[in-house]
Amino acid sequence: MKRFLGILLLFIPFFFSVPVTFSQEEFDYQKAYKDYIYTFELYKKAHSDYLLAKSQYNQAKTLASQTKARDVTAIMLEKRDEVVITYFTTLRMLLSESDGITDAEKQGLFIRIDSEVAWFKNHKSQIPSAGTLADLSEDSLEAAEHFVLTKPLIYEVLLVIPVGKIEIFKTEASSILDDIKNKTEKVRQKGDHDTTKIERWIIETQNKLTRSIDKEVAAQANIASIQSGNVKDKDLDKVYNETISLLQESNQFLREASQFMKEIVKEFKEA
Amino acid sequence: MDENNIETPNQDQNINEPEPLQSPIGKDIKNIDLIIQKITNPNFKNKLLKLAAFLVILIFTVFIAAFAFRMIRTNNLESTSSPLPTASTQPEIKNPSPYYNDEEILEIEDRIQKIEKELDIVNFREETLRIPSLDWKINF
Repeated sequence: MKRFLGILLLFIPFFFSVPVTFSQEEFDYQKAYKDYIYTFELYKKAHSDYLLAKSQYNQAKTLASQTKARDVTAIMLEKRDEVVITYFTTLRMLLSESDGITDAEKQGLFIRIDSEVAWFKNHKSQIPSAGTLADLSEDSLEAAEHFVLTKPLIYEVLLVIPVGKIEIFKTEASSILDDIKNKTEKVRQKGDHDTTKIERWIIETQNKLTRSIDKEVAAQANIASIQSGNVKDKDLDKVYNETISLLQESNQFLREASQFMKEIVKEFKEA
Repeated sequence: MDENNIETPNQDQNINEPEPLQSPIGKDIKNIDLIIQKITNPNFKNKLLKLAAFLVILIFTVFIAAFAFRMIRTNNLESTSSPLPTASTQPEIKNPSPYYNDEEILEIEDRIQKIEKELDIVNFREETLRIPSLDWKINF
């Protein structure tokens, strides 16, 4: 009996720890992304069922096939809304975990994302009430039209995140160059090392940083035009690709600037 | 003639009887005598002593070396291991300046290396988060 109680006592902390472990599991980007992928798989299955039911209904035109098509289509539309909801949630989590974006900018995007999530949740809740196939088609069209309106927000988020990355790099590179400038001034005043070449190279490095910033500014202008609705739906992908190219060019100038700074350091170290 | 050819038992005895010193036992005794003579020789004694002393010192040295090696391997493995050499892309500086080991310069160099690595691996496209391809045209 005593042995049994001993074993029981050993297991008690385990029983208590399990729910604690689950409750402490954080909902982060990785978790959100897994949810999105899982939901997308469910949607693909529902869509496949919908295509089959639609085909059977179009051939048979019976009441049974119509009822079956209605049920399956309703499920598919719900899953489609869930995909959009989990996709926006994943974007939100990625945005919240990204650096180099101001809090004000993040908050503004969070509000807009939350608004879209609320719209699709509401839309999903209305689907079961659709009585006919025509009603479901109407519901689908409503979501499709709204999704077109939400696309600029998606592109905006997908571009704000890499701009944040460039912003961090630019800040760090500028800070390193400032330190180099300060050090050069100290060495120049001390007069124990020739700084003429270094001073010239600092100007060259500064030029690279300026060109990087120019590209970043151009990328931000593209984002602003997406945000203001000046980019048509069919041009969104093109503008997105252009903006990514601008950011890559900005990154390339930063790489060249860091290469120059490396050479400056070498010049400091060599007599 | 017959008398000459007849071998007498005495003659046979003389021929077949082995000489006492030619037997193996006799040889051994002779060798032992030689060995005893050698051992008792003072020169040989000295040589033998020197050889024994050398062997003792050799064994002792090998034992100490083996013990020390084992101690280093078991107890001080981490402290004695040297860092692995890494390939450096840093250009070699032939003539170092007074700022070669300057703390501020080394810090700047470290920061440049860090940002350089990050700039090399950064990815701007969120490929996994491309807009989901959904069927928006639902009609019957």
